[in-house]
Amino acid sequence: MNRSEQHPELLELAAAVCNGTITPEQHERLQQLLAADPEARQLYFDYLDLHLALGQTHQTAQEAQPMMQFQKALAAPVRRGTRGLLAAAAGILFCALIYYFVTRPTPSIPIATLVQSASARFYGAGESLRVGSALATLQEYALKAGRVEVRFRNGVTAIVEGPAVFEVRDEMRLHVTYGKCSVNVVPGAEGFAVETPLTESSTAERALRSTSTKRARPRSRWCRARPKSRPLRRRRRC
Amino acid sequence: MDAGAAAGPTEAFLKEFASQHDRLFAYLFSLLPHRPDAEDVFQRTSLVLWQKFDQWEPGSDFLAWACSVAFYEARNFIRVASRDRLRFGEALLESLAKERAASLRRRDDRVAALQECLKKLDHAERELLQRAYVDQESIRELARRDGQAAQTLYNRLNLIRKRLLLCVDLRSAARGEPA
Repeated sequence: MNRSEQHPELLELAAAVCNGTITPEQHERLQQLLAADPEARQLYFDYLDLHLALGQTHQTAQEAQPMMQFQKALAAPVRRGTRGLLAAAAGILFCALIYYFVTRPTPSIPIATLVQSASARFYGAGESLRVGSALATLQEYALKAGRVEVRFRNGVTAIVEGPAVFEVRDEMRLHVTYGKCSVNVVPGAEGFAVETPLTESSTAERALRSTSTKRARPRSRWCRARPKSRPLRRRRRC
Repeated sequence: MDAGAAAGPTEAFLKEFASQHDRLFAYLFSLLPHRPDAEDVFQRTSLVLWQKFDQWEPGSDFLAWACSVAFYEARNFIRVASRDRLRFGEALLESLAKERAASLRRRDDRVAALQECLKKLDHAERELLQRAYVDQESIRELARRDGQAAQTLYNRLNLIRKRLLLCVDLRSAARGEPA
């Protein structure tokens, strides 16, 4: 009997965690199972790892499909130490905004494309990006310097200024770990979200203190989030 | 001084952070079963790691240091989180944190095995994973569009993950690694 068969209830509860459907009662039971058995805890870890890895590795299996070419970057095996990041991070920033006009995107168009570049220098995964390249979803890009403009297939455009670390989560979400960005607001837009860390205290962010995701109202102008200038004290000099 | 340190603190930090990013998030997700909570704490942790990077000793284990920072961030988050949040008790949290940190090292091997296991899936199974994980479509929306019950799709997804887990276990066992 394999360990999955030994812990069917745990697997069911772990699946509920991964699906985001776990109830308080299930959570209570999950706690009991995990507290009682180290093997159950290891199985739980492995199940969560599998769930997280599927978002990163599934593209490998799909690589042969022409329609999936734009996601080739996602097919990279395990991201083991080579994924780039770069960005100084004086402040984490934050952008807000929005947009969107509803024309349903066709599946053959990449979710996000690099449409302009001004002295942009990437580190790691982004080094091969050129104007016209598709950005992979769930791939973190580290922009060391310069600026890039990213166009989402729903029409949203975002300008990211290096140093920055950002990631296209999906068609409606841009995640900015570090750096500055501004998002083009298009008439008729709705629901596009820029996700940023909560710990910044820019004006825009204070309004978002209760959530890490801003879903802005459709507006027809450029907006720009201003970073809090965070002093970089205690930086090591080598 | 290693190359990373020689490149300056920013690059050194980003190099270390990038190399451990996935493991660190996996660590937090193990402690915080509600994914948006894990994402929030991950973001906070990222900032704290950067702010305290001068406390990290070059050449020492960055992941261990990052996990210790992440643990305190997770615990603080749980303390101030509303009571209706799903959260683990203190004793379990500490057990999970300790054992999880130890198990993160073998994560990459299992993920590599997973890639091989994915090739064994049939077209329909791959398509479901594609839509759920890559396109990040909501299961409820997928079900609505396909005219199925959401639970049916959740069950299919759970079954696929279970098969993949077994496949990864078998491959790991074949290589002499613990399941």
